[in-house]
Amino acid sequence: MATMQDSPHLGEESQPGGPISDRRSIIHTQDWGKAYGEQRAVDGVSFDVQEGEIFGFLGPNGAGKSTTIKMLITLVKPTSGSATVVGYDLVQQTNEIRKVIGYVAQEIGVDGRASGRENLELQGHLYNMDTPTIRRRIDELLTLVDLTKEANKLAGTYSGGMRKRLDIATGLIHSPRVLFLDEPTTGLDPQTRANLWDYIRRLNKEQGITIFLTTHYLEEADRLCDRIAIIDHGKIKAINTPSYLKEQVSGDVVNITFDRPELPTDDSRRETARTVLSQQTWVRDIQTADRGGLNVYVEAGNQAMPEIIRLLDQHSIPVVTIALSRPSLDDVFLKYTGRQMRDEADQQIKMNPWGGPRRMGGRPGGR
Amino acid sequence: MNVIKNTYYLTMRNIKAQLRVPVFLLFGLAQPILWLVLFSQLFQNQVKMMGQLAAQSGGANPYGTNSFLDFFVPAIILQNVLFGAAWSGTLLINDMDSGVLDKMLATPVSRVAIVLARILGSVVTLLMQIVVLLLVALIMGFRMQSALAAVLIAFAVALLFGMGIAGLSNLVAILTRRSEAVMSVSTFITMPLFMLSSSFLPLALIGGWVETVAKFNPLYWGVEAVRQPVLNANVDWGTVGIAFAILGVIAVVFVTLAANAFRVRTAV
Repeated sequence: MATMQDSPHLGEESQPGGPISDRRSIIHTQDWGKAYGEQRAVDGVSFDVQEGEIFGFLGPNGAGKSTTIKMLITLVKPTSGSATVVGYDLVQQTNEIRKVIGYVAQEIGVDGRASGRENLELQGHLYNMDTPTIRRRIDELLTLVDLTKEANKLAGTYSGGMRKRLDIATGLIHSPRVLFLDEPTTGLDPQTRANLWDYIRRLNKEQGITIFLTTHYLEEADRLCDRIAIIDHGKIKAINTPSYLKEQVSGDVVNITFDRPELPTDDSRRETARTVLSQQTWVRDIQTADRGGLNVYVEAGNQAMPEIIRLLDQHSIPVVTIALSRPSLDDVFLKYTGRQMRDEADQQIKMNPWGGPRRMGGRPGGR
Repeated sequence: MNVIKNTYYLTMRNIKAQLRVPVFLLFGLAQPILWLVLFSQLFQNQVKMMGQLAAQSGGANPYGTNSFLDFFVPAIILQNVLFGAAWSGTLLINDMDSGVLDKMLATPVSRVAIVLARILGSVVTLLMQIVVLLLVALIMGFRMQSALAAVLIAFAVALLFGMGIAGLSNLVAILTRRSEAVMSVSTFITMPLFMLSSSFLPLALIGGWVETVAKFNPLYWGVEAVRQPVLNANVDWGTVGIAFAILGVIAVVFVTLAANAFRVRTAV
């Protein structure tokens, strides 16, 4: 049984509290991947998810998150490696897996021309549940997602948030062991998003359902997940708890900018500053930040700030703004992938499971 | 059995979904009713004249009746099935594009059931339309010689024919995943099928290559089979039998091809 130590992609700092390699993992993958011809959407990915945790795949669009989740829910066939879900082999025992997992896609899969209740009933029948059990579960779920009043109205009349909640409820009707959420809050307004996070947390705490989610929202990964895997270009760059990963990004982040809005942008100041500061031993790392500035990673920001201003002043580089913050997951992402999440543009055409190009129109996240 | 239960519930879902967008059903009915009204106005006199001509030389009206309505309604019914069933594949593509299908595929539902339910859903909805069409025709003066046999045969033929065409439509949908392809195939096939048959004229009056080609047209056989009990007190069960055989084979072939194609495409 290979452990994370065998994976060439992860450094030592990913070990403590991080990957768990265990036969009892509820999801286990081993050098697992999906290639579409030459293009490797998911490349040699190995990870384990423990029962009861909320596990997230964090990465920009095109990183391979959706492909990963679609493989785990048996929609897409892997082209390499092996995986088990709830102990069942992904390729050999596909139907067994389907019985114990729930899936909520990024786009809402709710049937608008059926009522909320009818959607849930159909879903129950697709899992071959008997009618009394279906009825009981429907009542429970409608209460859980707060749709009891509107249950008999057509789902097409629901708001976006309501449809999402219904979608999640249909993924739960058969009391799955693992719930897979693909970009659960993409395209939702902040209020709905916060409410959804609440539901997901409660689901996990009260019902003990393992949650596997993919997201490109740093805040979502940070707030919801017990552990996250940072994925980029189909490879896992790091796996650990959000706090651990943030701690690994050294100390504080001092952000400085050099440009006044009214003056033309001039990179020379930034580059000179970069050269000057990189020579300082107390500077751990320097990255280009938004708006043409620099993020300087230091041990103690409050001591570094006056020093930075003084140094740059010596070299006649005026500092326009300076700010101090704790590292965010964006900094973590930067550290492990060399890019900021926000830089990522989604260029790739996503294949849908039948191998044909997926229609791109109007879907957030560019899928 | 799983397949049967799954098919049942999915078919009910498909039927309800279609009924809840009545616009499409009404739209689907508008054309046949329009044609019924217009064509009967156009051709009613022609049929009467043929009857008189034939009577003069002691023969029978080649139409088999003096009422164009009685002659035409069977054709209109099957035309409705033909055009309606040809659209079935686009509904499957809608589910593919919307994420509804993905959701279903993550469950242990039988893949075959999904396709069967799509086909059956379309066909059952079409049968409901036929009830309305028949009522409208009856109001217009349509009469059947062997009414019970006519109704039973009409629905049976419509069912088989519908399944065959819907099967083809869904097969195209599964292979191409594009509504445009389904609609192109639909247009390319439905009009010729409808024209190269005895829908408007008895074959004897058409003659030539059309008469030969029509014998290979399943729609021709379907229309003739329904016409038998409509126009005759003594039904020629031979014609009806051949029609059932041809339509049955076509239905089995296309439904099987569609179900198989889907199973293969969605296999993991």
